[in-house]
Amino acid sequence: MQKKEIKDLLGDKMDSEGRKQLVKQVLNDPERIKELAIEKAKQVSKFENSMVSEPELDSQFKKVLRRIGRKPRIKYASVAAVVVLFLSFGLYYFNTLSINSQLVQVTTAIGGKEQVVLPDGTKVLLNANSEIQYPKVFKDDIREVTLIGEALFEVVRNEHKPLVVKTYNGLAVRVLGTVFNVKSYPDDKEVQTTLVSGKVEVIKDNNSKAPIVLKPFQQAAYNKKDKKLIVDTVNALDAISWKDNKLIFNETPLEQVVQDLQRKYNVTFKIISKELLDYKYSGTFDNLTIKECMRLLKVSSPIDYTITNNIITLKQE
Amino acid sequence: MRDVNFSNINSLLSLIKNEDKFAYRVLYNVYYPKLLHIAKSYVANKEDAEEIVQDVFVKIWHKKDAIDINTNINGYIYQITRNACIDFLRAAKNRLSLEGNIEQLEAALNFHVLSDDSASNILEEELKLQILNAIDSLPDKCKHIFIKSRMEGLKNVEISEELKISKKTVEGHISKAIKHLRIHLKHYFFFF
Repeated sequence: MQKKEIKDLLGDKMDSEGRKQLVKQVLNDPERIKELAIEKAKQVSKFENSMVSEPELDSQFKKVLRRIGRKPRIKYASVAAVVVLFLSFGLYYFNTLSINSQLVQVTTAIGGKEQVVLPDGTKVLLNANSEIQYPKVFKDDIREVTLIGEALFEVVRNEHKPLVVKTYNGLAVRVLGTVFNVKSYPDDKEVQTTLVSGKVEVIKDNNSKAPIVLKPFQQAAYNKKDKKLIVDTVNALDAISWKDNKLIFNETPLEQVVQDLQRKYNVTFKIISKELLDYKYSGTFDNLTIKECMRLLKVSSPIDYTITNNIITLKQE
Repeated sequence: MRDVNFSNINSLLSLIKNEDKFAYRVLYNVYYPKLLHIAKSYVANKEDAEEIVQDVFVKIWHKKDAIDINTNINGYIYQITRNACIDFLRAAKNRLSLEGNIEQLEAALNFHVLSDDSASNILEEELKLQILNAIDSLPDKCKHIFIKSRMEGLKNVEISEELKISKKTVEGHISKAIKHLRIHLKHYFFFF
């Protein structure tokens, strides 16, 4: 077979009538077919221009997933988890259960901490006694997670797909890509959202019409009782110091200090002197044991304590 | 240090057998562009080629329980792609038409060309090299730890004990490996 014939057949430069005649000839000649087969394999083996763009690769993968998902098999364990959650916390915002909304739930114990990576690569550091829930696959237009407790988020930027952190009391935080901390424990008086970098919107009562936009180093504190949202400039690094096992208090009401300590150490506090409830404490507990914390508290405030088993009693000195 | 070879792709397969979608996505990212290139070269029409390759991945997922863990996975993936193309071309060449039109003739020619085993072996071998290359360009230490962790299913603590490095270092290497895979493959990892 001539080189030119092979070249003609492998390329697409020939006019269609000439090509048709050549193809017909080759089809009747097994030798030439074999020769062409080898040459074509060699050419294809170069994998020239075989790159596929990222969006194309992604959209094709979604099609594959959709086709796999046609036989949806929802694991009963995750359904059970959803039901339990629904009952215990009264969550009301999950939509239809499909393969894509299979939920993943990560929980930390008192004193625990856990790094979680969401399906989009967003990193979440979950503080003690907290729980985060997210779908195995995010929806097309939104990345929705639910948080009970405290977590530090480092969000992978995606302007077309905001990440929304929902807390159990209707407050939500909406972001495109940024670093921020959400503290939303059921037994705290406030829900605090602190921004380290980037931009976040705090949405009250699922009302997206009037979001409050935070700038870096601002904190939005939502008082659950009077339902007021107060924005203040804070030392954001203090707010996320828990990630390095530090507890930093800056004019923090003692009630809150006690809550934080209870979550980090498996202890229960009793405050005997009522005047202490309004006391505002400032101080840093850097990688301390609970006993060291108490000693420091005693020397840096008018507070005395006694420890019996896991119960710590506080009274005014 | 163990080299990256197809026993590791097979470890990937064992993860896929456990329904690990991350492993599945890694396999997809490595293979999809190459398989599409092959399919496109023989079936001519891009949309048809895309559908064929989608089929291949759907098939891998559905058949994962039946795939032998020690099988030549590259050969397996290549062969189902090739067979899918041949089936497509057979249907195209046998489609009734008044007189053989050019598309039909080309389909017939490509059907015979792709059915040639020795030609096909060339393609299969080169595909294997290409895939190895993509995985092999990971930095050594990263690669080693990445494979241990993601593909051999070891815990970070076990790796740090085996390699006598701290757990933090292991974590660092794993995230570096993933980042590198992302950049190298220029693809976005959906599952992780």
